[in-house]
Amino acid sequence: MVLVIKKASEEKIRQFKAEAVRRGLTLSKAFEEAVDLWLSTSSKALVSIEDFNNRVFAELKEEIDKHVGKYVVIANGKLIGVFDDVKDIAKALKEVKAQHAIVYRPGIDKPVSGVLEWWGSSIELKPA
Amino acid sequence: MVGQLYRAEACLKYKASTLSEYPVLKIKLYNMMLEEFPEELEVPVDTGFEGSLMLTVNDYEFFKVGELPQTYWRSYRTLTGIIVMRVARAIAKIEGREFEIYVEAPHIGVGKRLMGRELLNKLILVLDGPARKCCISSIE
Repeated sequence: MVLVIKKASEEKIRQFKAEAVRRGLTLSKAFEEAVDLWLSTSSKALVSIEDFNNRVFAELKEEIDKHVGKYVVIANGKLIGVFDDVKDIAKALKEVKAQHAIVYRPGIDKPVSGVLEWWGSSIELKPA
Repeated sequence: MVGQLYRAEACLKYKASTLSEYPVLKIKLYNMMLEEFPEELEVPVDTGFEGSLMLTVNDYEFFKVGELPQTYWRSYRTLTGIIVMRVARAIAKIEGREFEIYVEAPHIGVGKRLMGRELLNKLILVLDGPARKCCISSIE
């Protein structure tokens, strides 16, 4: 199809054409790739991978909690697996090249209700 | 128990401070990828900290591949208000003993290295104040 875009920034279009040439792409192919990239990331771009992993955890919590005592691993915004052993977790995390992961043990990891103690915080001994 | 004998297996000298030296323990750490933390730490023993092992925010980056969900992070009451700590899983080795532990670091702030009661309660420790020695021990 033929697409006409009005009022686009000349500078941006110039850079876009130059980049397409550098990558050996026609302008239409470069445009399609840019659209694909934008569509695939736009829903995730506003949250960090940490937030995204936490969101997945919250969505799957009910299912996850059935695996009492096991290790449930979430990374890259998806459930990576349920494991019995830390060695298997390490292998799985390396395979997906995780930068951040949630490793949760249902029934073992307990939410702490209330506020804990840290008596000495901010106390500094200074000479009189 | 009164009269119980404790055998010191490994001792570390207290570290110097402004007024009174303080006990430390040596600890090796691994993240959930089983990568070894680049440094063997000598961490102050702090019975005033209820949590496990507090690290600096920079240290904590290494353990983010095994973090607990945000709803499992912890809050601490301090003299300057309430501090939220991120929590992650780690493997700790202390004098040949291996534990799966939590490491913590402030969500906002810098943090410091401290060994709190949650981890200390897994160990038999003898604090020999006059000799300035902190010893991992066993019961005879």
